[in-house]
Amino acid sequence: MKLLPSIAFNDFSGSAGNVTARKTGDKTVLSTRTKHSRKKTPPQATTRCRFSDTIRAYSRITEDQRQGWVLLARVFGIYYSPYGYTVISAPNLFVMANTYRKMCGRPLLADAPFEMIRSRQVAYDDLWLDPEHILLTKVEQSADPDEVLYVEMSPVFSPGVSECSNKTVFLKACSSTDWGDVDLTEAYLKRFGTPLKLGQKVIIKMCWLNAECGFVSRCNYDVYKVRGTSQYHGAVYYPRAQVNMEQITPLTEHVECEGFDYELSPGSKFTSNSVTLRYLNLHLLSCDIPHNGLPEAFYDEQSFQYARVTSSIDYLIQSIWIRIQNSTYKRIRFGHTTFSLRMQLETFGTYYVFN
Amino acid sequence: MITLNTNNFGGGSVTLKDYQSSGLCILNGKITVDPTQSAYMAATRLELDLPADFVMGRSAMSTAILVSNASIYRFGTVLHCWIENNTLCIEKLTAWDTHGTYEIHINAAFVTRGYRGTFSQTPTNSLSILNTATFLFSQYRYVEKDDFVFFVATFTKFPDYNTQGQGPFTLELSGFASDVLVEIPLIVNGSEYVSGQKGSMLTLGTFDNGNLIFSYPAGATDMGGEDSFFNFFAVRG
Repeated sequence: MKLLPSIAFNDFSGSAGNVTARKTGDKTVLSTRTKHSRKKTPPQATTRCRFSDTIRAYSRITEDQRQGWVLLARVFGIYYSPYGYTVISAPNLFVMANTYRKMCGRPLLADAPFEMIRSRQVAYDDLWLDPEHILLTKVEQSADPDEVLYVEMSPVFSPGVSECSNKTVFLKACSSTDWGDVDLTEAYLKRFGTPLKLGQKVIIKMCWLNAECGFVSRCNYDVYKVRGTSQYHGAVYYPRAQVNMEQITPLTEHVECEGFDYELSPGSKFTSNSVTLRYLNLHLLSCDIPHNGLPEAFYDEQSFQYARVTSSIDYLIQSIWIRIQNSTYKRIRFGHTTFSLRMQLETFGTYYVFN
Repeated sequence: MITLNTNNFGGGSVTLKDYQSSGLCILNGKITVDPTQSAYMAATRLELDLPADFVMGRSAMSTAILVSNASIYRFGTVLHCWIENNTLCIEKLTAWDTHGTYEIHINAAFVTRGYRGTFSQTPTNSLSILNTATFLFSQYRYVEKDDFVFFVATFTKFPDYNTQGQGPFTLELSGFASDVLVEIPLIVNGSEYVSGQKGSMLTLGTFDNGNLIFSYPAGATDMGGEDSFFNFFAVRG
């Protein structure tokens, strides 16, 4: 927008091409139509499309539906956002509600909801923020199935910056946590392209947001410094005692492991797991698959479990043992007590683990 | 004891023996399921509401054993069983529905996940079989805690219907907690398979006063013997 003294454009108002002129007092203000900057990264393009699609959608709803939004905007009135007190119009409320819905993976809402629900802060235990991990732990699980964990982030490149609330960008909406863990590492890399650097500052804004009709209001908003230990307990990163498909070589000469989800829990030591196997050789009492290195919590663990045959004799129950070796040998061994028909089987459950 | 009064399959109240802590729960008991109930037919999984004050709202995967009403062998299998939203959830399998009302036995542990920290080793206790002419372990693990026990055993010597008849048989043990009273399914498939068989041959046994007592049904063929086994958690007292 440019302010010009009224000489050539005295009493001129209206639009020509991309230029619009209007009189403000004794001055004429010229403005150009807003255009996107030339920079167009995929996330920027996505955000712009999402916004413009939502704006266009408002013009396509019926008059009755529009009146619903007008009424809701009137009830909603003035609300407090991280950017201050705001009066909202029906179209803006429509755009706001549906923008959040889209970010939460919900379809566009033509009918105004009964109410707009304020977001709430997130309770969690710790945060690892280092070049390899962006991980929240022991995040309280929401009891409301409509709530998602909404996260915005922004790296800070100037060390003097400690506040820039309007710089954060949407990163992820998580509908659930992984037993209290929320891993943002991959989403951050996808969004910003480069990993965090030690000493760098990062802004994180997050809240529990109702995906149906929520808006960001109350939220956690913090500036953190990237470092080698966790933000609250000062602990060096250590992983859960977990093995999954990414850590094993699933296909060997004798067996193909089609599913592997194994974790240790305390209380002496328990395993809860779910493993699916397809044997390529019928007459084996035991067979191995190699792994690519496991957390230090694993040394040489063995559990004795029920298994269920899923081929030949459906549902036949067998006894199986799973031995995870993570010292001299780097392998997972499956053992049986009998040579019976079991081309495919699954084993699952919670059992004690023995060393 | 906890009572589960409501469920989604038209069953009656269920009482389970329980041990509860925030990270570990043990449940023991039997659920009777009538597959002719319309609620059962509509259900995709079996759900039983846990008491409001049950400490674990969600668990990792655990197990239950389906014991069907199939003639003689009571064929059955192991089922997925877990806690979700304060509800005990059990996988629904319809393979034996035509045999009528069946039982689901739960003698299992339920744990939570997401732990980061150190682990201690599981302490095991020794057991001795007193009647070794009839029973011999292939391998076993026995864990005895103040509130519950875990016992898994496979056998190289175990009563065989063909040679030893129906029983009753008693596995006499030295070292097993005398205050455990629990009924468990025994997997006694033998080495032969019945034509068109689905699942394993099962019989029920009872641990009482430190010993396991069980018998086989009349008219069975090749039931029990080597490689029979069991695997269970049980609350003490």
